[in-house]
Amino acid sequence: MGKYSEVIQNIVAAILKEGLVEEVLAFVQGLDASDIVPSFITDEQDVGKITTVAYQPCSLAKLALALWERGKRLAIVVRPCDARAMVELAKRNQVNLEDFYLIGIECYGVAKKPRGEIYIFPQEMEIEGEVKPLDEEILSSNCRRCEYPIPTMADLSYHIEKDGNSSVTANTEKGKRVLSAAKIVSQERPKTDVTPIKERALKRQEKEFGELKEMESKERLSFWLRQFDKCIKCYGCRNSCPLCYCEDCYLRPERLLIKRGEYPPESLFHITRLIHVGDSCVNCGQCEAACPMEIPVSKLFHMMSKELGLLFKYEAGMDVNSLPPISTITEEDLAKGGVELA
Amino acid sequence: MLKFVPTICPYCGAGCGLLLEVKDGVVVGTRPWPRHPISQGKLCIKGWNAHEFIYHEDRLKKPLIKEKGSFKPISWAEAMEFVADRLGEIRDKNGPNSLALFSSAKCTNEENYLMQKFARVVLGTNNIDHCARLCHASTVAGLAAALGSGAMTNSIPDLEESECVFIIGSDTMSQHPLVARRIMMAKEKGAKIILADPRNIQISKFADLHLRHKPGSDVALINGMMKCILDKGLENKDFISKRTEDFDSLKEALESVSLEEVERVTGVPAEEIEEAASIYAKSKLSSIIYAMGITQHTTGTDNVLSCANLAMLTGNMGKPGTGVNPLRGQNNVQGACDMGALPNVFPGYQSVSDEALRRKMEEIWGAPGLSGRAGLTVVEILNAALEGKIKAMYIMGENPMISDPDISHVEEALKSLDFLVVQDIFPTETARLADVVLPAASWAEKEGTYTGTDRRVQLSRKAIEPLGESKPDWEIICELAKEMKVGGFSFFSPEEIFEEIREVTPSYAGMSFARLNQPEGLQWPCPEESHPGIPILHSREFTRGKGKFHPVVYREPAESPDDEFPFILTTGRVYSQWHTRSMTGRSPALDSEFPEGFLEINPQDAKKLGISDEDLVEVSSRRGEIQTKAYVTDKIKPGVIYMPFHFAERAANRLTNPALDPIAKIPEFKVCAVRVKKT
Repeated sequence: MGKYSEVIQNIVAAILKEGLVEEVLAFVQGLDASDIVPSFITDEQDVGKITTVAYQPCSLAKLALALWERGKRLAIVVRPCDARAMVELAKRNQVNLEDFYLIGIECYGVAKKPRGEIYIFPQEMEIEGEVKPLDEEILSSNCRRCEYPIPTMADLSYHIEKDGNSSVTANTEKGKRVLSAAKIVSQERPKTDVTPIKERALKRQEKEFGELKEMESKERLSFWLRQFDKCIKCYGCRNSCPLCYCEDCYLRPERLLIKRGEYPPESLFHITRLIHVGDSCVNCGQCEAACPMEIPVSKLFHMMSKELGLLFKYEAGMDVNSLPPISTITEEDLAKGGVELA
Repeated sequence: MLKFVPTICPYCGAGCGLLLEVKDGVVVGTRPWPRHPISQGKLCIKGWNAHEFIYHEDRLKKPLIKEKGSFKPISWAEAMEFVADRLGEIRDKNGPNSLALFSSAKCTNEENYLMQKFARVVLGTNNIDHCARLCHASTVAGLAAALGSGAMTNSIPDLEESECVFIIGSDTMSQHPLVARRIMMAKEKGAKIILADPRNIQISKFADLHLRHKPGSDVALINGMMKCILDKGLENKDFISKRTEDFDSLKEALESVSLEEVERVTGVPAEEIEEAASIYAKSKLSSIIYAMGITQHTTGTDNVLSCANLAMLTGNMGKPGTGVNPLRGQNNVQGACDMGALPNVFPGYQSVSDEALRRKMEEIWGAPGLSGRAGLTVVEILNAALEGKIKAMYIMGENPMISDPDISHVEEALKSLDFLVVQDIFPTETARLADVVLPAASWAEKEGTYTGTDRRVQLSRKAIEPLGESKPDWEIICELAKEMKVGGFSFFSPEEIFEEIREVTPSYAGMSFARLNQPEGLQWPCPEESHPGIPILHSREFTRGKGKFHPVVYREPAESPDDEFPFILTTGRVYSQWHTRSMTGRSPALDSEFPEGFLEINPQDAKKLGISDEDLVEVSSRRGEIQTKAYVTDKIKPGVIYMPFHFAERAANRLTNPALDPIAKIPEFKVCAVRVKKT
């Protein structure tokens, strides 16, 4: 299914046929057109189920991390935030990118709720075949803050225009192998200007983060404590986060860091997560999507990573060769001030 | 080979959707199911860890027989033959009513259907009941009398539309977290939350008004609210005149209610009661949410009737964001009731005493001579066992040794049986007392339907093969019926059983596995194939025609504190444990959150008794005594003790009172008198 899925389906069929990978992880249609579920595909006959609709119900990077055996080859149909999560995991020695083929799709945001055939373009959206001006309200809040629509860090980027034209660009040698297996000629990425997208995202960040920064620090603290009061300790934020990879998690009750049997948990619960993934957060929004109580955790984490990024000139998940601040920090860095978070 | 299999959560009645992660035929994890209409890609801690108990080493994998006090494995053929012979023998010698069955609100509709059919057709008795008796029997009785249908009037998603949510006797955030989500969403949109609960619970922090009434004073509290509504003329006169009957009798009864008296009985200041009444009555769309804080009383049916009175008085019925919304406990307790795993009704609440209905069932089942006398309920069955009237029991997936009131009495009753068969996935405290234990497959190992608290029938898919020699409950029941040489049990799939359920149960007649194979499922009543199901009941008229007001007079609980036992004990649950812990106790992520039992005591009381936080204390009632750890906290009112009932070693149900509601026969878990002292 999916009107813009054909090229991706052909690519996936080709790499399975050519034996480049053992399996492919992608989103497919489940019980109805709105039911988008992850699936591991081994048979090229099944590629027709792959969908590229703009809805991302979980992090495929998380699934690859949790379920994939090291050393076996897997292709993943990713959006930029999933690709960035894979890059960040690779830096932290949690995955070996050599095991993965990242088939990237350009992404201008995904819907926050499942809603059938939906595609998002820079200024328009297409719902059930009808093209309308983009209503940003339907997007996940993290997407509205996202500055990175092009999966340059994936092995290839698939670009769709609203008139249905599409092109594929190989970003790496692996990407070229994929395209040659699929007998597709790599095209220069069309010169879409991403500056307006970036500007829109930065404006949104300014608004969302600004509302918090404008608060008195006491008020800001009580805002977050009030949000954390809603927490039912489901661990859904941790369980959904692609960068939460500790096998022996600090938050486990046996570790006794967080008082057992107390709910809502102490705010240390959220602060611990913040410390753990603050510098690796790729703003994929899965923590917030998993939260039954709609605590805006993704906003908090994104804000933290942006603050750190400014300070240390670091942006998570963009380049596998740019190491996390914690491993490159200098004496001079330690003397810097001005980090202001919650 | 990795796949994600859509199933329905095996814990509470909310009915959330799960995707089980299956790797090479082994379940390795759980993921939320984003498209699911209830859970919307979110889960609580129990849902996230639903897979953890599946492979626990305690899983029963072979039939067991007790010989000289210890269990030894036997073959299925031997087990079936032995059980069939013993049940047949006892029935022939002592009559069919010397047998009794507990069905299971954890099993599928198909399995509950077969269990009651087995009781009625194979054994010839109506002595079948299940844990609904212990949680919402009063809902089934009360709402059926007032509205004509004993189920949640609205749907979980439409709670979001409420402008006022009145929560009474429900710790929603910890016990039905994905229902609490909708309440919080309503709050986000500006709804007011009124909470009536003796305890300070998580949702108290978000309540606009928290009435901390004394356990067991619900009727007085609601009467007080209704009195205020009438005094201020806030009742919905149009709704009352067009849609209801017997309003005058309610009005008359409320005339004698005085707010001072209500304040004295409930311990809630009159102004707060007035404010609650006014918020509830003035909001355009007000819903009532309740759970076991309402139902588990000797006045349970009265409490439920009071909730119905309040909703009808203000016309809060039949629209989104309104209604009377009991939150059912087990994942399939609604379905087990719908399927007639109850002593007085066939599937679809068709009375066994109605001759025409009985003829219909006899014809469909090909079983003449069905008993028209209602059977015994859970606590009555155990009493009858102790009296020697019940000689044998067949228990499927229930653990009365933890879940029922006055466990010492339960133990004595079960030990006095001539023959006990327990069918379960784990060797529970109850299974240990059995003569034969039959190993059942878990929810992940079978296909079938579950009916959630909002009457939503959902299809759960099979993820893996049954472990060891265990079998799905439906298969075991079919084989046992065949062994007893009774026809009507030749089913080869849950779908075949469901086809018979449709034929027998008018509210399920329009459903089929093909129709249920969609994320929304179908909400009953669904009488025809083309019928979309009904998300909101009683919209144009009540199921019974007119809604019926029942004047209710406040009665005291069966046991009140006195000099000897000066505290009220009220029981409940914690967020990471489930009922008797047979599943959560074997799920490391859940058990380690709350590994042991405790009680909550107010600092004032603790000071008087010289009890400090985490001290070991002894708690005793007229029925027994236990030791447990004390948490000193103002979450609980002075004069009241709270204990979760999950823990076998510190079992709250050694203390609870088996006194029953006269109509619904539900025991009074929420109030009994106890004494506490430091050990």
